[in-house]
Amino acid sequence: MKTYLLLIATAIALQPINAQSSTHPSLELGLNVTPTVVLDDSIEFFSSNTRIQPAVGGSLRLHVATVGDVLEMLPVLSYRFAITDGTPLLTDNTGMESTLKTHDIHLGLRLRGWLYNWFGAFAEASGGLAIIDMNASRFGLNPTNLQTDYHDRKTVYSMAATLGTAFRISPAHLKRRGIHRFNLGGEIGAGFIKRKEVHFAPDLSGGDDNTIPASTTDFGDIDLTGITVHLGLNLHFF
Amino acid sequence: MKRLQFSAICIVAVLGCTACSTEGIYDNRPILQPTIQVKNGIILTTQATDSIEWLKITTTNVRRKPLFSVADGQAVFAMFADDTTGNGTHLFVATRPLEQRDAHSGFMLHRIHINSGDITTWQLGFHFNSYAFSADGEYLILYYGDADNAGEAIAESVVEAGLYNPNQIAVVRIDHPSSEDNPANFTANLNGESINRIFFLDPIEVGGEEKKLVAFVANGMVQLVDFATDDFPQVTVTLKTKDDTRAIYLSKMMSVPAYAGFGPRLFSLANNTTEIFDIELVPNDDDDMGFHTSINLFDSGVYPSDFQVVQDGDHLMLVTISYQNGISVYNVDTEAGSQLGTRDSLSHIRVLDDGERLLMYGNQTNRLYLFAINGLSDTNDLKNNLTTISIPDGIANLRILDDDRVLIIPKNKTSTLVLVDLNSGTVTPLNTNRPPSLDQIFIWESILLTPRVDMLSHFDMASGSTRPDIYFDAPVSQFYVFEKAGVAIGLHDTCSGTATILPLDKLSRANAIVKDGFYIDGILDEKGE
Repeated sequence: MKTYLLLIATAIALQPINAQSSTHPSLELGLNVTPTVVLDDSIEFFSSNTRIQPAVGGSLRLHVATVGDVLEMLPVLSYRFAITDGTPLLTDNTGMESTLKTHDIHLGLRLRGWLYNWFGAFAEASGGLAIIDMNASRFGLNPTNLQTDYHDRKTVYSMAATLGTAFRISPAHLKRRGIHRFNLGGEIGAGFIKRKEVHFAPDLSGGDDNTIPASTTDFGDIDLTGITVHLGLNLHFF
Repeated sequence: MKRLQFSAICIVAVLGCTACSTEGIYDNRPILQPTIQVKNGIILTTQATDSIEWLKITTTNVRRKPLFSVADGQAVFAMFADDTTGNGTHLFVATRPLEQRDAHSGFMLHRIHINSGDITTWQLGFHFNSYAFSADGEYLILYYGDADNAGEAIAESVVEAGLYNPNQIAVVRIDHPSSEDNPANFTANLNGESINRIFFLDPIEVGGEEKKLVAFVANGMVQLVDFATDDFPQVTVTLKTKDDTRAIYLSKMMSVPAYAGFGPRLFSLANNTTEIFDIELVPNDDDDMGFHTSINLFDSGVYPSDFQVVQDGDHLMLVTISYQNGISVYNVDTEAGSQLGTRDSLSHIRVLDDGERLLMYGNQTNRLYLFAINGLSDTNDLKNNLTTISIPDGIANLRILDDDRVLIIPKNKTSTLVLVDLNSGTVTPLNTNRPPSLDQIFIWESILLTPRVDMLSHFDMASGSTRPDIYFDAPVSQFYVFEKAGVAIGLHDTCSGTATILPLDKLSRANAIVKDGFYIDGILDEKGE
């Protein structure tokens, strides 16, 4: 018992201020919530008069290297799903029910440093594709056999950058408890996402077998670039 | 997870919520209503008429385009096209200052070429309430019409608080830009009587000079103005004596050029009198006008409803019909007249076949009367010139298709339209369970189109064969036929703007096209404030 305590004391004493470095790659699984404030007010067509686009996502990170015993480098593969619903009431009692869904699939790099065992800071930059699904369904004229559903899907490039602080349970504490393989943490941050402006030029569908197919016009451009707030939960595997 | 999301949104809400009110930038947009039909499309305005756009109609598309934006400080008080039959190519917009204390804006008239957007602007001195185009499209006359004036009135009626000249006339030379003389202002000398209507008479030669006469009709008088010269000489023709209290307004005027020894003259019909006025224009070099007027009266003792002046050989014949039944024919030279009683009260005369015969009819009668002109001057019995076509179910309303055919809405059988061939006298009924009203009957070449809310019925009068009805996908709120584009269009009342386009030369549902979205194209690019 005494030896055991002595060993731990030594370990703590010998603990450098910076976090321990791992010598082998470790895997991290992150789940996050990243509401985005879109800068273009065109999004209000697809949301209930707000520019906030709620989003959830997940990422997979691989701890491959530590630079100078301080800076961890983690390539990241992430997926983010954002959805907004709106009801633009174009006239008094007719309008559309609209939905905008965004799927961002990114590859990036995260740089992270631990100031204390349990507290650190990270910076992440990533880029990839955004698949933007725009839908609207027109209501108001009854009865009708006209086609009333508008749909367009565009795939464009998207880039994101996030800065934040990360928390985790101190690895030393876990070691004491005998947990070597896992760690749990969280992070909070803010960032920016840029997606290329897309044209909403939908196709019409709906009606029944006898409906005359209709063609519609170009609704215009929407730019889903915005400021993000990032909240995450991380699971580390060693 | 949920708690995190909630608190995240709370944080971001402070940063991001820009439209915290219940109405967003895409809610309750101003509604554009289709108004005037023009040659290539339909004019659209908002209720407040602060934005004028138009729908351009082609064989395959309906597109919304901007047309005229009202300048700051101005408001629109009149808007009309240069053609009332739906074939206009220019839109006229009259504006007034929005704020009465505005010293810089004035009354203006803008003429906009619809296809190209070119604008000509003239300064007006006053807030007119009626307008009339000359038949040749060269002049536009703006004036103060009386309360039930028969000219074209505009939407906004004027309440003049200050002093104004009720006989002020502005004449705009349409193809010329604004200048000191354009528009030309003068006063129609009508002793302050308000103007009931304006007639543009066919050019007539008097004393070797061509006169372009425009007649301004007021109670008991008519003012003739010569538009052929720039100083607009005028002469007033009094139609009744000062103590005659009848309200006499000329309702029809016809200019008849000099013919076989007769001088040029104007024939006119007025309500409330039994006389037909024959205003002779006698050349007189001393007069500014170049002539003075001398009036003859033709009185048949009954109130005439319509008249025509026709030529039979060397003779000028005046044919009048009357509500009190009867046809009266006068030889203008000898003033000898003869009468023929009819059982029906007649209201209209139309000239067919270039003056070979006259079609006469009356609403609420059972007969069409065809009157041959040839031999009218020396006939012993007018009955010899008359043929009738019996319409069993009576005439409620009538539309002349061409020189040979007439379409009748019968009085007694509301589920039928009757097609009459004037040459053979054949009467062909077309049955329907849902009869159309007269303004909802369109004719293109030999095809009769009768739209309803849910379908379009069409009938080829040349072949006489029934065609299947074309049902629309949604109720039609407005229906138009565009001759130039060769399409019929039904507009549906949707917030995005939807139209069903049917090609007129191959009318069927299989050839229909539906176009959508013309009210909201580019909507995402409109920036909120």
